Amino acid sequence: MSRDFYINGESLVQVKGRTDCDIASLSQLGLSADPITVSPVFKHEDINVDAWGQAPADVQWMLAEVMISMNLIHFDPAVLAVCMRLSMGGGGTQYGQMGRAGQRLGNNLPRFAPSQVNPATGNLAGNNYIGLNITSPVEALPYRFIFSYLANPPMTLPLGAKKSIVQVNFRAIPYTQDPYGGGTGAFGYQLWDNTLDT
Amino acid sequence: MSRDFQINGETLVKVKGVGGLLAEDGTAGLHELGLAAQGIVVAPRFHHRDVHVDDFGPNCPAEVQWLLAEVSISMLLIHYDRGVLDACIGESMGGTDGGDAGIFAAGGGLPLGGGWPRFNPDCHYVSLNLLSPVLDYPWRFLTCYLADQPAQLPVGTSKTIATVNWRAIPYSPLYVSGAATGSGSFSQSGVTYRRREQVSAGTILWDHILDTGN
Repeated sequence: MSRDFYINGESLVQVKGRTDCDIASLSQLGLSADPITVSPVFKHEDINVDAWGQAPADVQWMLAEVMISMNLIHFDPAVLAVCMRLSMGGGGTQYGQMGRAGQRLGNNLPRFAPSQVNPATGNLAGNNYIGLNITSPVEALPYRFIFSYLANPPMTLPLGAKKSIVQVNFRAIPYTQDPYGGGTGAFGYQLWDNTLDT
Repeated sequence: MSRDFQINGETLVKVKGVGGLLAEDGTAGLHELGLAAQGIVVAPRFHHRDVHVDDFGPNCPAEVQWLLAEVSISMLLIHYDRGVLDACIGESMGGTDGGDAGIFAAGGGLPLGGGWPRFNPDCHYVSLNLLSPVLDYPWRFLTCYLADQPAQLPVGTSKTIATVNWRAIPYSPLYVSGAATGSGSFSQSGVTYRRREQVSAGTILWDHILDTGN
């Protein structure tokens, strides 16, 4: 590759959720009023040694998460409503309904798993994480955040006579069903990639 | 060896024992207990006793005697097998005779080992394994039980992080498998045992060889 201006293009936001929800197929969430901000948050931990004063002698990599912020101006409120419900624990079927307190978003299920009864606990739940896709028609380098949800704050929606520009914040985390990873932990884990969901 | 930072890695806890930990073939089973929320603390506790001589005054010992040791292993389990933890609690209560933990299947005063070797059906000690995928220096505590306040389980809407406290002691069985010369052998469940002198010398409190099994 060589240096050039980085122009992503008309960045359409698309989302995909569990197979028994209304965004089971890849759905258009919308277009943003201004650039979509992708902010990885790296977690490192210092290793301090008394002999090395107050600067770390080494640093340990402790995984990461990503914050994706956008101001949607041309969007589908029904799709946004489904994203909100999934991020609220996936409970019920109506916009505004919550899951029970303490409901896990992943529920030890694979990606897009529908709501089902856990045979060990009797709890009814699916994998509520959302696949967040940002197209890249000019740069041809799209982003896919594989396990994300709305958070911190999820949505700020101004209502009035003017068009509503809704501020939306997604958080992408390295969800896993087994943190031990067969002895390799998070080695090779894909937090994001450049292959869009279909 | 040389100095370096000691990073154990993703420390999976495995246990091996009998009773509720039996494998499907009826032998001692090796099970994954779980992963901890933070570092697992291994704290050996040595026992020494001073030998005082009047000539050395009342305060400083002229010699010290080694009187063995035990180990405390503390962990905050966050991603764990509740059934395996329950079985460990049951074995630490002297066994549950096939029932759930919480039932006193064993009367007060029952020895956990009873002189039997590890993984004998009547020996309720659990073998505790701490894996070491990065440092490749695992720990095995051969005869452990959940002690004092064995577990603290906050139950509510948030995930339950189980505070679990193990005690490893230098258990030395009285009976070992194999025939004795002359008389003195006996059989139990098809296995021949002989009695031996119960001595502390050579007893393994911990090592770095993981248990194997199903």
